[in-house]
Amino acid sequence: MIEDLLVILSMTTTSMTPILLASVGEILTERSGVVNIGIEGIFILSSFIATLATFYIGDPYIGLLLGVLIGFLSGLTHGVLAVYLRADQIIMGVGYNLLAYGLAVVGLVAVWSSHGASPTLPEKTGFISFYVGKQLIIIQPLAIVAVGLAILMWYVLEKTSLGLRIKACGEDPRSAEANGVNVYMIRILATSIGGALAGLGGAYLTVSWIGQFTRSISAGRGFIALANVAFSNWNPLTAILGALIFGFFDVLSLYIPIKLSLLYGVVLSSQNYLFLTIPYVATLIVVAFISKRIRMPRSLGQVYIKE
Amino acid sequence: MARGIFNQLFIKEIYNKISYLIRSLAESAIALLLAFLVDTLFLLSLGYDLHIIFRIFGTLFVTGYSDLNYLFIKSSPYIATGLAFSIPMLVGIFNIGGEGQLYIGALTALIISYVTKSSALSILAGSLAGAFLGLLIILGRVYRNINEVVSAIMLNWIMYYLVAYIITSYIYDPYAPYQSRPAPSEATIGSLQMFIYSVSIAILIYIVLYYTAIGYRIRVIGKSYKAALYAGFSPSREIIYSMIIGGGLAGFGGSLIPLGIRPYVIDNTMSVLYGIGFLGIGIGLLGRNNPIGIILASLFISGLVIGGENVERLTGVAPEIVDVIIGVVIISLAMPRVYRLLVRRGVFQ
Amino acid sequence: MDKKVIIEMRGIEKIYPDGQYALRGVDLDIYEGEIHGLLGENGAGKTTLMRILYGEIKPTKGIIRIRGRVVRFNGPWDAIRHGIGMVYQHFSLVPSLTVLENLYLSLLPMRRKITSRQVRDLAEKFSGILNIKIPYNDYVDDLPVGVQQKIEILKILMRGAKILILDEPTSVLNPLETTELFRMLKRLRDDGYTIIYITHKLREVMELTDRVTVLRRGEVAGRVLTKETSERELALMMVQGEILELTKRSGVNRSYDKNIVLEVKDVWVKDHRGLDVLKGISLDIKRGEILGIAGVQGNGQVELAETLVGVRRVYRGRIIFKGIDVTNKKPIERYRMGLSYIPDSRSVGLVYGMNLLENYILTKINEYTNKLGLINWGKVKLDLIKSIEEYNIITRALDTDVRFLSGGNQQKILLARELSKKPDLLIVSEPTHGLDIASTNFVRRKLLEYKESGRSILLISTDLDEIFELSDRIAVINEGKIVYVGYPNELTSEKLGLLMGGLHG
Repeated sequence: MIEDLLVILSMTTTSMTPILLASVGEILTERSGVVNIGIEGIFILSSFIATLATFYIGDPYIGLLLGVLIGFLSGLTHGVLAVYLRADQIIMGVGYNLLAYGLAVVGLVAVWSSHGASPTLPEKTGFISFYVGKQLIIIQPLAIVAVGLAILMWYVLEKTSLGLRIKACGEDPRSAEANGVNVYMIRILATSIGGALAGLGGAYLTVSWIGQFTRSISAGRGFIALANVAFSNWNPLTAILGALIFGFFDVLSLYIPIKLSLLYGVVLSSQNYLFLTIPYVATLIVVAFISKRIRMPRSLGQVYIKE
Repeated sequence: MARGIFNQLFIKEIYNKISYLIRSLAESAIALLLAFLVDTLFLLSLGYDLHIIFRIFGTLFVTGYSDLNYLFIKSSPYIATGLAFSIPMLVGIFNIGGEGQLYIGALTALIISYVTKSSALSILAGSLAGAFLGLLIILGRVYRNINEVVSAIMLNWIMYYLVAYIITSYIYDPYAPYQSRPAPSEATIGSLQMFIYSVSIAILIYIVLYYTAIGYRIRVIGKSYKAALYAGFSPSREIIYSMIIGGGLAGFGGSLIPLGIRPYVIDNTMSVLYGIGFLGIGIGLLGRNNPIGIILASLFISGLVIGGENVERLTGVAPEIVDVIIGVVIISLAMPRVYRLLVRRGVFQ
Repeated sequence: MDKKVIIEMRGIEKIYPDGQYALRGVDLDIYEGEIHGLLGENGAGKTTLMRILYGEIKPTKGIIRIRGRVVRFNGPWDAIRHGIGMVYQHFSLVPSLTVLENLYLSLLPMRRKITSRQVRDLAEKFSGILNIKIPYNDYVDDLPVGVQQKIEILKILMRGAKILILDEPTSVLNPLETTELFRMLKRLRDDGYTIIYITHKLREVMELTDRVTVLRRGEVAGRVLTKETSERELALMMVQGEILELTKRSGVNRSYDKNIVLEVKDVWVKDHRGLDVLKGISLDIKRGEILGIAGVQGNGQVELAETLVGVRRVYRGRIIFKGIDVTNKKPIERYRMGLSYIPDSRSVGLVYGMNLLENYILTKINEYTNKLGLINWGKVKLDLIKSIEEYNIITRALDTDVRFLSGGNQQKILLARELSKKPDLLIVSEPTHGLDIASTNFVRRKLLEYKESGRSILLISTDLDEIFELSDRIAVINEGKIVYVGYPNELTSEKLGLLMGGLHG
């Protein structure tokens, strides 16, 4: 029993990382007043590019970096279109998700002639492992980095003048502008950095965790990250907790069927599907619970036109 | 005197309608052009030569339209999911849950078809199932402030796995346990029938929107919340109605699929259902949230999708190339300014 | 005492691209260390003039000198650097941040490396004058408005302003807070600050200012020393010339039905902040009369209209329409009973993005739908064409989007629509606002015709010409109260000016 718990906990740290990274990035974006639901697409595209790069260059860390770059560029595009061209942010996000998915699958087929998954990566990024009793515990370094970034983001938002300016953009851009803040620039930067963090999370999915790119590499994790943003009430520290919770359910949905089949010798095939719904049901319940208590940035998603 | 004004106004009306049409087409054309650009660059970077790329585009745009039968089959669900996105959009609600509503509609229709052997009842049941899902989403939004995008996406995935579970646990074909039993032949419908049903629903929606009080109120709320309040409308009621209709439409679209497409089954990867809900969003946008436009847009997009399947056969490029095109189209259509700048100039006043 | 001129504005003109002028040949002198009142009705140009001084707007013509040197401002920050600060009715504080964060934010552009400690120290220097213990860690939207205003003023002082411009600051304050504001402003003046105080309230000018400049319709109507003038004199300067032809309706006997169509009994309404916006309004409107509500904008007229329509809730008092208590009835029910409303904002009364046909039925859908709920557009078209003829509406086609019509034509559609329902009471707000002369006359004529057919109209307008031309009786509203109800020929300019300026002559 204890071993189960330990395994689940260690797996949770692994699974919570992409969610946390993307959440922290999106918190930054949304605090500045822009909403980017294209995180799912960024996950898919950056994980594809990262996989591709790792195969051809041989170094998974470069893959990670390229994933960040893809995320950054995607966020930048979203920011520029939203801020300067006053595009509808939700519709753009929907379009981007479709686009990214298409690009990744076309790439998957073109490069590896496969419709399901890429070949397994020869090398992944390193991880920390140690034994507790008989159990092997794995901690991803990126998990620690993610937590560190969350704390850093909290510090910037709450304790620095930059954070003040960012928050002003998201609450009351008109007043912010009157106080000399360049709302356009801050929103674009925030969206780009938010995208970069999501890109890191996406690259992590293949290059540090799963080890190969598949069509369903993300499976809605981008939207779970969005739910986490709301759950955390736009606070990066709470987002750590949220990511752990959501990551936990993610792990559970994979772990229970395996455990059951080990324990009872039952090979579940169709019931598997039910377990796979756990993360989404959990997210839905959490969102249902918290939605009355949260307060989003006042000017989120609203078009701001400089006078 | 009145007759004179009448005639004058009549001519201007036609002029207005034509200029609106031209504007819309121009906007869509620009969006497509952009999509091509992006696609070309991407394919080039993957290592395809230019002449293969042109061949790909050629296949995409020409071959898809030659088989009318197949076109009907493909476009019918798209008409439904396009409407499913557009109706709530008219009131200002994003219905991203078309996928899940479609899945549950398809499953419900299939199961009811086993029992009743009637296509009409099955389709009705499927529509109701979709409507129910839409209702859940909007009630969450109206009464508990749950963001409809997040709840819809979660329900999409839940439905995906739920349907797969039910298929593989309860209604699987003993000879092919990864897919459902086929629908009974009495309940199946032909391709022309499918198409007629969809188009009829679209026309019905058109009539409701533009010729009934409910449709009128929905449109007013979408255009001016303040004016709606002034006129004494109660927006939250209409918003709920619009999502019930939206969900029902997606469910309707889903019902058509297992009853109309051979071999009348749903498999555990949802291959025949997947993505139709999402593409509906693009179709709704392309069709300018107008039922007639949606019919045209879905025919167009269906041709592209079929073309995409052909492209795969002929050149090996994944059919998802169509997703890339539509994705770019959606993004371009999200930008009002560009069009106002480029297209509107001459048509103003 | 010999005071220096600190601000000179000469020949200021502001003309908008459509030809309307906001200011014409305005000269203004402000002495250092004085409280200078800028008095005038709505639309007189006071705010525009100050926004020019503050650098937000550029004048079409004219020169500004500060301390003798000509200046040209390209934006508020230029003005701020010259020591000018402006406090609007809508503060530029971020409500969901704390006071300290707001102060910090506002100083950042001037001093990039300031620390929060320095912000506090600087703020403390002013806490004495402002008579406030600064709540650094409170969120701005938790604070009472009077305190928020002090923080806004503090912000400006901290930026080094020596010249303060305040625009109608008491419009958001209660009487206690107003007294405190005056105390503070006088203290600032005594310490050498210069204050320009924009208002339309005569009492405030008399109580607070050293000198007054009166603006009327974009021009200077008078300049006086406060101690050498009186409220009556100021009132006359504010409205004189507007009422000269107003007595054309010299007591022509309009015999109307003694029947009362609307009774408003001691109605009290609060706004979203919890402050009273209507304070015990009592009125009645007889059948076949036009009751005009005169008053400076922002005194509760809009809220009164919204309350009568049913969009705002009454917490005390009753509204009786045609003998039936409608206090708790929804707007749609009141519409069905024979109440009609044309709001002052055409974008509320009309749906922009929809065409004439669709807008024509907005408040009378049930007239055109059959039992199935289907709309008979043919009938709509016929009725619309009739209205187009009758009201001479100029439009290119019936399916043109209404937003492309001129203001006058839009107003005509509203009028045609609401009058075609033959309401027992039509409430109309600012019916000729922004319209050309021909449309204005047309609209007024139509309203008179309608009244003469035996129905009632409640006319709300800040245009005194209009009130006098159309009303059988006039009520003056000031700060949420009806301060006078009577016949037009009983009102002299003086009396009217005083009433509107807040004094009960």
